[in-house]
Parts: sequence; structure tokens; C-alpha cells
Amino acid sequence: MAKRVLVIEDEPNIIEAISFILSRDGWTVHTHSDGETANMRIKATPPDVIILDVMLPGKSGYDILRDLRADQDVSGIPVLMLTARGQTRDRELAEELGATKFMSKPFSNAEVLENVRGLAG
Amino acid sequence: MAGTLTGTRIRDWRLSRGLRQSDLAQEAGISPSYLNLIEHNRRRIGGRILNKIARALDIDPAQLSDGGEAVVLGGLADIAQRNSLDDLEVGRLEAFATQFPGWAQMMLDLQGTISALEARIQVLSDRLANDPHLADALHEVISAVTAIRSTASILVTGEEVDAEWRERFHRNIYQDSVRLAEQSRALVSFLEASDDGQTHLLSSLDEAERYFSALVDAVGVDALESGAENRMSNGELVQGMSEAGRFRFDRIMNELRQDERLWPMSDVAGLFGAVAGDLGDFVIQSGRAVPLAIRRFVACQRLANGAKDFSYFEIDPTGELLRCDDGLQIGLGSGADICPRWPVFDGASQPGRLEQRVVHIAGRDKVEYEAIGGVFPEQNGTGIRGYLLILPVTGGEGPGTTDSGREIGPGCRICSVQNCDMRREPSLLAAAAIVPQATSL
Repeated sequence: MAKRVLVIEDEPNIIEAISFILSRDGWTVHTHSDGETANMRIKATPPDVIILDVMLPGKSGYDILRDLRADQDVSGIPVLMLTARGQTRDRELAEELGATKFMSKPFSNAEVLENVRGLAG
Repeated sequence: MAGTLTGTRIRDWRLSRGLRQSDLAQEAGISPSYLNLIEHNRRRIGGRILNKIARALDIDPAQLSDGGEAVVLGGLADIAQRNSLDDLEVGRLEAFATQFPGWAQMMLDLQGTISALEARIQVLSDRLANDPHLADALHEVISAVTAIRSTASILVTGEEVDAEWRERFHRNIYQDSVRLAEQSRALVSFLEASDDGQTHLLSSLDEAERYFSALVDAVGVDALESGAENRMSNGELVQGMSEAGRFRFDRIMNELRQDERLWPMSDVAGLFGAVAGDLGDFVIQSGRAVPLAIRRFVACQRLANGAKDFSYFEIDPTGELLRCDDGLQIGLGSGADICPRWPVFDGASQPGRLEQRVVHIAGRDKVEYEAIGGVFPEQNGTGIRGYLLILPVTGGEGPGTTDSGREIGPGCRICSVQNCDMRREPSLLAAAAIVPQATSL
């Protein structure tokens, strides 16, 4: 059975591109665009890997990650954090909150694939 | 260091006059061996002997020692420190400045350019971090670039892409390129419209503090109080300063001068030296109004130890900062970002009381600071003002560390202090572990 990745991102064309390359790589891709309801979505159908953007409507990626790590049912899911800000402080904050990997936009497709494959073990 | 190159100048003038050392020494009334030491910069001279030698050489004493050398050497020493030159190289500074004055001046000019560029980068960096409009605009641009890059990569990798998908990706790239063009234009317009100066990109308080700090570095706090900064008031530093920044700066300066009239620095310095840097003793022994004593103590602190050995804040009743001379880079924040555990707020219920505590800041390796603060009525009776002075606690070999001092947060949102009964909002850092403490009814 194909492994599942959940892409939490609000830019439709980025979602489309990431979905395409991951699907072609054999992943089952789910997407979600709303920060407010992201944690409920994760809990309802926990994926194998999460790709999480920082700037989302309703709730930031940092808040989603914090709540995810505090929920024992889903706290172990590896998270690849995406952000448009590559500053050291943002990276540190993502790591402190429990991000498994961190990638700055704009990223390469090869980078996304490599990281997601690595996180799935 | 002033005067150390004077000897070289004397030697040059003597040789240009065709005099032997013994001739000049006799004319100046000193021994030839002493003159030899002076000429090799191994004895510092000034005053009477300098005047005698100048008279013997028939030149103005200022031509032997005009202070310019000290500025050059000070600048070179600063460059050496910034670039971690070893002691051997630092010991050659005087010889370098003497033999290659043009190169020395060029190095100072280049360092000045570097410093100006660094300041500019800092301004822009601050702006990127703090301007929500700019942050949103940049986020839009980066998102569009990310989408274009990722989509274009799919199309050019050589792998087969279904015709329907290919058409879709072409459309996406076109849409994102239009979005990128619009966002880029808007961003450039925004930056051009606001980039007619430098310092007004900062908050008005930051502008005022930077200008104040630059003036103190240039002329010293005592000269500021006497009005000597006027010679710089039309200089490069003030260019581009906003009206609000200038207002704040003027307010700082007016109070400084008023304090100088009430208690001149010449009278303050003795007490400051006698109490060995203890603000509590200073206030008690001064017999002056506490706010005045605190401000005078801070002025002495700056004069004696430079800007980087303390942090000083003044806070109005709403939590807005009135002064932020943050040499220790504490980063107090402002308004709701200020941690209510700082001692200045201990005194809020008892204005007029000075609190003194050892503190450390959560997440900073438990480095100890001595924090002294309190809330005091304004002299003109218009309200109250909080004062907070933070000094490093140093042991024999460096900053002390503590497990027992009061823990201060960097602001609730990124604070790791647990069970804090003053928490205003949850922290991002400790998830469920950080919750508001239950309060009894």
C-alpha cells in the first residue's frame, strides 16, 4: 500500500506541483489549505509524512506543529516544514517546536522528494 | 595613546631644520638621551616640554600634537580588534600609521564605509522582520517563484508528462508569472517610495537611541550635556531622521541637560567612584530625588564603562518604552511583549521603591544579570515612569551563572518559563507543558 503524505499549503499551484511529483514517485497525496482545521484533518486520517507551510490562513504552521507534538495520537508523525523565510531564528523555532526537517522556499523538486523519502524511512 | 606619535613628528621637524639631537635638546633644556627617548616614542610628553621643543623648532605646539594621531591610532586599533589581529600586529600599529599615513587613512575610510553598510543592512534586516506589509509582499513573491520553479522543473526534466497535465502546468506558470510581475512592481514601488532616507525605517525610539549613542561615542556624554553635540547636529547622522525620531531625541537631550544643571557631572563623578558601581548606595548617599540619581548614575556608567556594559530602559505607564539604551542586547520588547517579572514592575504597586534582583533570561544559559528598577512619580507631577537598569554580574573570570536568580522571559510567545502566573498567552515552545497557573477564587 502506498504511503500517504499530507501537504498543508495554501498556494494552489505549489500544491499542484508537489502533488504531481510525489504522486509520480508512488505516494498517495492528500492536501489541506486551511490552518484552522489542519490538526483535526491530521487526527482524522494520520498520514505517514506531513509537509507543512508556515504562513497559512487561520493558524500558522508553527501553531499547528506545536499542537501536533502535544497530541500523543499523532505526535510521532515526521514533519517537513516549508517557509518563505530562511532566517536562522525561523529554523531554530521550527526545530524547537519539533519539525523533523526544514526547507526554505523556493526549493527544488529533487529536494522535496529526497526529504520526504528520508522521513518515511 | 594620545601623544605617542609626537616623537616621530619632533624628529621629522628636527631633521628638516638640520638640527642635531644635542642641539635641540640643549635649546629645549632637556638631556639628549631624554630627547632620544621622546623621538622614538618611548616617552610621552605634553604641556611644558612640548611647548619648549616647539619653541626651539620655531613651530606651533599644535603641529607636534594636534590629536589627529590619537584618532588614527584609535581607529586602527578598532579595526585590529574587529579582525582579531594578534598582539604582535597590534604592536606595529604606530609604526604602520607613521610610515604609511595614506594607507592608514584609507583603512579608516574603508572601515567607515563597511560600518555604514553594516548599519544599512541592519536597518533593512529589522525592517524585513518587523514590517508586516513588506513581509506579506515578499511572501507573495517567494510563493510565486516557488510555484514557477517547481512547475517548470516538472516540464523540463525529460520525463513524460501527460498532455492534460502539461497544459495545466503551462497555464499555472503563466498565472504565476503574471502574479510575480505584479508583486515585483508593487514591491519596488513600495521600497522606492519609502527609501528616501535611512533611519526612518526604524521606530522613532530606535532612531533617537542610535543617534544618541553615535553622539556619545563621538563626543562623550559629558560633552553632550554641555551642548558640544551641536557641532554634529547638521551632520550625516541626523539626515533622514524622522520628525518623531527627532522629537524623541530632543526629549532625551533636554532631560540630560536639565539633569546636568540640577546635579553637574563634575559633582556626580566622585560619588559614582566611591560607591563602586552600586546604584542602591549611590541613590542613598546622593540625597537626591531617586529618578535624578538613577539617570545620573546611568550617565556615569556610560562615561566610565562605555555603551556595551549595561542596558537601561525607561517605561511609561502603558508599557511603552521611553528609553532603550540596550548595550547588553537584552531585547526588553515593548508594551505587551515586556515580561512582567522584571523588577521594575515589582514596584508598580509601591511607587518610590527601588527593587534590586539577580535575574537570568530564559533560554540564555543562565547568565546572571543584576536588575535594578522601580516606578517613580514624574517631577512635574504628570504621572509615573518606570526605570530599569541591568548590569552584568561578573565573577573573577567572566560573567556569572545562576540557578537561583529570578527567571525572566523574552516575551510570552517564545518564553519557556513554566507555570508562570503572569503568562498572557501560550508559548510556542513548550506545548501543553506551559499552561496558565490556576488562580483561586
